[in-house]
Amino acid sequence: MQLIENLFVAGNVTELETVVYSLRRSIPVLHLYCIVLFEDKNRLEILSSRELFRERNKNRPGQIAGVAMGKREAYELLAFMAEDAVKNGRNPASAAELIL
Amino acid sequence: MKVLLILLGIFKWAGIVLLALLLLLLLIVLVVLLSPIRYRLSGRKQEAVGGSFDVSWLFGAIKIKGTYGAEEKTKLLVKVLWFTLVDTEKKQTEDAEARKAVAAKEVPPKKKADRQEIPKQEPMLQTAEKQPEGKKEAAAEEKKPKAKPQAQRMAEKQPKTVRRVQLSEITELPPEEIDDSEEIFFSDEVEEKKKKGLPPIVGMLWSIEEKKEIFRAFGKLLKRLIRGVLPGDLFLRAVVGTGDPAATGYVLAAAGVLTAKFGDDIQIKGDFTKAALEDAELRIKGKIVLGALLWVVLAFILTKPVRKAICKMIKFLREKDA
Repeated sequence: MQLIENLFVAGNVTELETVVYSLRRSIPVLHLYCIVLFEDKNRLEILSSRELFRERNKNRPGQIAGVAMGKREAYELLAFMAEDAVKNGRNPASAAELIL
Repeated sequence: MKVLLILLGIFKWAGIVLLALLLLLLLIVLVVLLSPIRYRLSGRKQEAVGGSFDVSWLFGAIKIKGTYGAEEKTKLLVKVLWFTLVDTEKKQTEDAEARKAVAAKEVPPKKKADRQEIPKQEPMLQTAEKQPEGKKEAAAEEKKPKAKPQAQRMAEKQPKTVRRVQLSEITELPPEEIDDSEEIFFSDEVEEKKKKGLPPIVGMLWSIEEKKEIFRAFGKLLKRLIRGVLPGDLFLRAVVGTGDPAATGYVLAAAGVLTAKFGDDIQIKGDFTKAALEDAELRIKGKIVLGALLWVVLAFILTKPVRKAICKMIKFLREKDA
């Protein structure tokens, strides 16, 4: 699973270096939720890192766009991504444009 | 010979009387065990909260009824056969009548006092005009801080420290490894201390065989007890909101589980914009049969592994006393 170049990071993620290390090696991180753009469904999904690295999701083509510690923070991060898209004139209804 | 006949006759009638008494006792026991305790509960929340409940046993011989509400008076009635043990409605009417009687007696002396009070009312009228204005201002001020709909919560919580990070600027760090070699969780001394500290009954319980079967039987017991107590009829209608759309979704999903059992009698709608409980109505009706519950408990006790465990415990307690 790849990470996008400009990763969205929630405020409560403290050890980002460890998080990136773990995500690149498919190691689940406790309490970590990822916002992932799956190309097969062309939509963003919020998954725990444990769920993301299960067999059914591991081999799906996708990109990790954002990370947050906790589900609630992940929802707020997604809301921030939509706001950021609108501010910069991108289409918030398009999943691909949200993560640019 | 005659004496013998008389004696036999006495024994015969004594036997008949004893048999009748035994049958009567058996009938009472069967009635107590088999007659259901019927309960009914209803509640509503529209402008105010209100409700009522009704419990009856032994075919209505024992009755407990009650109502509660802001609009209605709180009432409780407990009746055993034709004897009323508690009746708050009757008490309230009696109290009201007593107050009326007292008030009626006091009327003549009050007439003189009224004449004296008339001049006092004039300054009251002047201040009364100012009071509503002041009250209105105070009420308006009180209202302002309260009006804060829940839907704004998410907007206020916009993350201020969310950031975008260039991956090329991050140097990966592996997670710290925990060194377990120096930590010793259990030493022999600690284990021995722990063993000494345990009461002997715990050791005896731990030595019981077939613990898995006992737990399984206990699980069955709990399931049957709950099934025996749960209501047969349930009607629930409400508009529910928790303030958080995700949590409201979870509540609706849980309500879906009830819908599978009770069908159209569960009508829960979600309000995703605010925390609310509106237009709520609940009606529960069920019965509890003591005989069925007793049967379930006996079935658990008579299961082989449970029976063995009980015998072992009784033996242990006897040895302890000896």
